[in-house]
Amino acid sequence: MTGSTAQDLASWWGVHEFPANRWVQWEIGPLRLSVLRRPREWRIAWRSDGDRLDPVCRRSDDNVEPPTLENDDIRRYIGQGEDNRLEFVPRLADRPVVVNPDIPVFLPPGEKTTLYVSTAAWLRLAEPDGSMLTEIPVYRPSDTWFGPNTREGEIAYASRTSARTSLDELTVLHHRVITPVRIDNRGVDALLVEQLRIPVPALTLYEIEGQGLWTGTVAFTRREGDNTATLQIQDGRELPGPDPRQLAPPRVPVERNAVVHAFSRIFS
Amino acid sequence: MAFPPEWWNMEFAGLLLRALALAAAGLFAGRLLGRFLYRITRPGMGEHGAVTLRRLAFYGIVVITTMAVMRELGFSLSVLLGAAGILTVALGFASQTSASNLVSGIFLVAESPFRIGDVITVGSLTGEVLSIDLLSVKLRTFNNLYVRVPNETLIKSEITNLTRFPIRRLDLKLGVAYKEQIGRVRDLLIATADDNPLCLDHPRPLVIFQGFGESSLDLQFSVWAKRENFLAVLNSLPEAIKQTFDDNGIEIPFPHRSLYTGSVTDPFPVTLVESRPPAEDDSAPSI
Repeated sequence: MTGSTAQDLASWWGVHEFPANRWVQWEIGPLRLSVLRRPREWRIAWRSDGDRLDPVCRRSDDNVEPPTLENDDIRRYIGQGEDNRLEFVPRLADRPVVVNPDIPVFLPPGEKTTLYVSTAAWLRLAEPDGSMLTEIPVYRPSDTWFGPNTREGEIAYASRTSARTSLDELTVLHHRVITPVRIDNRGVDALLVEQLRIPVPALTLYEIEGQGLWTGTVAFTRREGDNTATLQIQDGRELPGPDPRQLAPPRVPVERNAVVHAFSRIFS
Repeated sequence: MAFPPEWWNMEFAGLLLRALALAAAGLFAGRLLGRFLYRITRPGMGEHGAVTLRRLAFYGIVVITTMAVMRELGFSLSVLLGAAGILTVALGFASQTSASNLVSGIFLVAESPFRIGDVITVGSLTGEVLSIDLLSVKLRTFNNLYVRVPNETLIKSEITNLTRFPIRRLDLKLGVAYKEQIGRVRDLLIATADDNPLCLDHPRPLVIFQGFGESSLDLQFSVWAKRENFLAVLNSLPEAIKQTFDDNGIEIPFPHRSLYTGSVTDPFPVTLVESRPPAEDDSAPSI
């Protein structure tokens, strides 16, 4: 693809217009998304084989190489609509994400900290009247299992993280969503955080001007005397930056600021 | 013989009619109650629980109806139960296999080693459980055959339930050449699993050294996958491993044989034959 009219964009979400009978390609981080508008038909093709930390966000209208069945997932969506516009909506993962810090993190007793972890965004394609065509992960994370043993637990997505503790160290990538994780260790010994389950489907997605995609804070409080934890999900009021704008509601309805669940193995 | 016989009169006909109506009503009520229970319990209890409850309700109503019909016909229940005892002994001798299957079925339902919809292996047979009945279990094999397995066989056999737990481990046996570094092979295998999104990140993939084989270092590579993705991983992982080994020059050896004639016999005579250089006109097309 030569991309003579390729545009580098600040963000990829919103309503976009597509010319008839011509492939248009979007590069969003590791995702290559091609869209073709034909009479009463959308053709959507994608592949996600790029570098998952690639910051690219670009639209190319000309000289786009048509996708092939060998390299891409191609689907046709047929309907009666004549509208040439599609809405790109960022969404969060459809399962919880289990985050493993690169280096084991210890939190001494009585300490609190906030870690910033990022997870892959999903892209929801919908017609402006609201009818959804499909949802595509910008990057398909690996499956993982979260539970006390191989009989009880749940399937989740796995993610590696640098678990940064400072906002200044964060790199804004428009295809990843940052979640602040506040951990309060009220136990009697140091807490080893080597595996953290983020209930991503229960989080709200926000956009912060110039700082990309964020979710509300997830707060884990390790109880005194045992190894269980309570989990609280907070809204966007505590996020850095002025006036976070809500982009997508939680996939799973959750009462805000309520104790959602207590797990025996939030921390392993 | 005169027709109608002496015992046949309007009173007996009425009695018989009432008994038949009672039996029909009982069967209808049993079926209706079973269906109703199935419908309301299926969302909560699942297919297996709902079907079991439906059958229990139906058979319960059938027993009650039978007793009511007998009573209606003028039989004494105590006499009937005594006769049933004798009948059971007689039937037990006459139909040992059926009785054994019946009892095995009751034990199977109580023990519940599998449920409707599970995939099980019994002996050399693997299939999806379609129904668990009093005498037999019906399976659908993966080549779409309908197989009836008697309950007695199931009670006596080792049953493997392939779908009881949500995740499964896939064990691949493979060998690499003796010249390879086991540590490097291990790292490459783990990286191959990490690159496949269907292989679970946790529990971690495992490489177990199995021994010094005849021609290879034997390894077992174990990865975990979601139950539904097991077949996809079983198909995609060996292909990825072969590609990784090819890309990194890791040799998968075939069996080697060294011929040795022993210390007391002469070595094999070997004759070196000088290869003939190709003639100049060898490449010329023949006419």
